[in-house]
Amino acid sequence: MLPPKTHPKWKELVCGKLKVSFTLLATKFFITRVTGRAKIDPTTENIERLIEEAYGFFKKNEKLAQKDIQAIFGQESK
Amino acid sequence: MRAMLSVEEVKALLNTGKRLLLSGDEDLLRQLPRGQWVGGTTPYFIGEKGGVMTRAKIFANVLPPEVVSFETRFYSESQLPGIVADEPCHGFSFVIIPAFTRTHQSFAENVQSYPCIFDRPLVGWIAGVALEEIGKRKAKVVDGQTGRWSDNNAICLHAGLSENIAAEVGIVNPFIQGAGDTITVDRPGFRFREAHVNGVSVNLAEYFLSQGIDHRLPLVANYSGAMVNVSIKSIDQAAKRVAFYAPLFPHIDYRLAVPVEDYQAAFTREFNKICADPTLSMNCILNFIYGDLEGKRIGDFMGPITFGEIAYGLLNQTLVYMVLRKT
Repeated sequence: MLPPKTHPKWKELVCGKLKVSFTLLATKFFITRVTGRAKIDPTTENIERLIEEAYGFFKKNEKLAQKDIQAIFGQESK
Repeated sequence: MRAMLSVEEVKALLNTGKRLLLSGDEDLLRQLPRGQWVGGTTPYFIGEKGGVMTRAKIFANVLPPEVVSFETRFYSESQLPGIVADEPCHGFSFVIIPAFTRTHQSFAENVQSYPCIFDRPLVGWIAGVALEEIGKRKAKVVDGQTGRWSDNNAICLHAGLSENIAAEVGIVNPFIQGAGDTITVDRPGFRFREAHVNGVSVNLAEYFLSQGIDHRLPLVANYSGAMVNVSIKSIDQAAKRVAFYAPLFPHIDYRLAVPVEDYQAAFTREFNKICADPTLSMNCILNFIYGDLEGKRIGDFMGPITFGEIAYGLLNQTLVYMVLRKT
């Protein structure tokens, strides 16, 4: 189960502070895009938008990206 | 099923209602009847007997029964961002774009900024022509359902899948970043005079020439663990300009790749790690040429040799594949 958008790991993820080895190619590309955008515009408003985007990506790919979700959230995503 | 087939064999498959993804010489594809197929031009393949250039056979991917819907549409340059909205909620999209067109360039430069582009599987390739015909003949794509051809627009298949099946797009890339200088750019683009090397502004052509770099090696970027190549097209000493086969992007660190001594062995080793039988796959014309792959197999890979590979974005010197997995 995907943790809520208020979970602190979401912010760490989009800000590039979470060093995770991803499995799915789409995740690797997606994370590169959002972390790049967070570097360019680190305002709270933009980070919230990127968390929204990240949540949407993993929600749509919850089954296929299960390994990546677990790598990010650990046991909390089970 | 995937195989190199004669026109008559492809016709037979279409007559039985099979849905096909086809690649081949334009003259062969034009002999096919209308049906549930999309295609693009290339005379290069890796088939049962290894790498080959042929105008006598078509490469066919037969889509499995898990593909439950088959919608096709052309996209002009300005319509390209609409691909995302047309993607099936549960399935994959397969796109072929004619090489060296504005559609090709626009897709390459902008696709990564399309909203939600990574949410659904997008895979495909860039159509081309025989190397000796570049500039004389145009790469083309075709919608087999309507018989409509295009030498400018992209053809896209939006395929729905059974509920318990998901499409996963992956890449096989034997290149990794070398330990050398870091190259960055200020804008997206295929051609550059100025770039930054370790943060210092340089003329990129002069830098490459002074370093004596092997132009067959791509620049490699690390996308959160995925190695993404950008191949060098030309280094123009007079114009002091470097052209690439895919765009470089700002805020991305590029390094020249570590040389691959034996392409066949390297691709075979990496391809065998997939641990699944890809529904479709394609490899790059530059790997075919630089790796001297004529007559050679790379593991169980079979597919068209293409002028750019698409896995969400445009890639170079990369093998792209898609597998269907039970969820």
